[in-house]
Amino acid sequence: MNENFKKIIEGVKEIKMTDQEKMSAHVRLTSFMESNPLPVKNIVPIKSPYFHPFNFMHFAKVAVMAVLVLAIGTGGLSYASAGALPGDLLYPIKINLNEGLRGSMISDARTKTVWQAKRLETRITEIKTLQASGKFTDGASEVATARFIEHASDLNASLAEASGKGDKETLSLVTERIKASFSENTKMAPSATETEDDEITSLFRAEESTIDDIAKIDSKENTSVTKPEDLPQKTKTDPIKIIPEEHNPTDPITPPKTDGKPSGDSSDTSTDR
Amino acid sequence: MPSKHMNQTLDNNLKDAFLKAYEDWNDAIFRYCFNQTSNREVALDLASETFTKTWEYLVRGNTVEQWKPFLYRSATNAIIDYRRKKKAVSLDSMMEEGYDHVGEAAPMGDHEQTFDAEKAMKVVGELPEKYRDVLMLRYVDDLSISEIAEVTGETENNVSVRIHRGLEKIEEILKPKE
Repeated sequence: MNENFKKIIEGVKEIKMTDQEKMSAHVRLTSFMESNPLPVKNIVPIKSPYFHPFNFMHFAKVAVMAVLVLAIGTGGLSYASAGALPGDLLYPIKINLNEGLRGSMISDARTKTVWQAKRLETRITEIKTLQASGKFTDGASEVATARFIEHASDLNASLAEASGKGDKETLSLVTERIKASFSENTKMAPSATETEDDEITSLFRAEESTIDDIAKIDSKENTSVTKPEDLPQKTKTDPIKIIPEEHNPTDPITPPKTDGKPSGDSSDTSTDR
Repeated sequence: MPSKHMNQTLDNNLKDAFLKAYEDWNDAIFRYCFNQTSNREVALDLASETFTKTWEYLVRGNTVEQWKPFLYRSATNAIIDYRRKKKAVSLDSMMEEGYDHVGEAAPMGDHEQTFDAEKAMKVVGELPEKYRDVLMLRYVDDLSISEIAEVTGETENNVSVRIHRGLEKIEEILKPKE
């Protein structure tokens, strides 16, 4: 760029307001601003902190916050109740909320059967944990036993249904799992009282027996299948002989003959078979 | 936080932003107005008018995204309004208001050595208006091509061409007359 031009520019840049001019201008401007303040419409409208029926956005925000609080609170409660035992304050939440919700979301029969087996395993573990820790008091034992019976009944119904459908795989899997759980758990609880141990052992053995029965029914039904044509034929000319030929009910004092035919017998006791 | 307090805070923020823009650009706007009018008093009035009109713009509920181009545009409009009022001003009137028109054969020898503001303005005053405007905005006020286009309402291409031709004109003016 031309040096002279640069000098021109520098000269022009020297043009400035004097301090007095600046002060005067500033006073004029602030006076003008005070005379012409910002209007009301520039102000953000005051929103009521309270619920207003027509304030949808406020209601929506409150609703979202409530859901979040409920979800977080519920989740926290659910997490805290995961380790609850029969007799604990959070045990009903564990049964009804945690397990109840989970079970209600399962629609597949096979998955539900497996889940019920896991649930029953949890009941078994709870009972043995109470026994081992010496907390198997009357109140806790009643709750634990009642829940065990209830959940065992649910499982048995599902197993019977699986058996009816011919679902051998599920039946076998669940049966083996529960029986292993029974056998494993009976080795625990060294501090349990003899009476308690007997009651619990009986309870477990009863369920084990029930499961075995269901499994046996299934095995029988599936291994003794006979074709209709293999069944023995029954015709009208072949009456079924139910009375032995040596016995004549009309002549009780007549001894039986060695040839098998009764004497003086007018009744027809055909021995044809 | 109560909304009323928030409202006051918003108002204060807007007011503070405006006053800061005033402090930052008051001199530059005055200089721009002076370059366009060559009259100090007129330039002071136009600069003051620029900022009062900007405040009125805010009072109407509008917002300003970028202060610099907005203020220059506002000043340009004020200058245009002023020129329209003074449309029929003769050369004699211009001399009375403080503008010295330098003849085409003005000796420029002294200009090569020292340039004060008055002399610089004399040289600038020889430029055609359309060249003078863009040169001042570009080299004195440090506006970009796009900002100049926004302020003057011209296309960026036109602005670039005028700057180039304005520099050529400056060289002609400063060329020693033999």
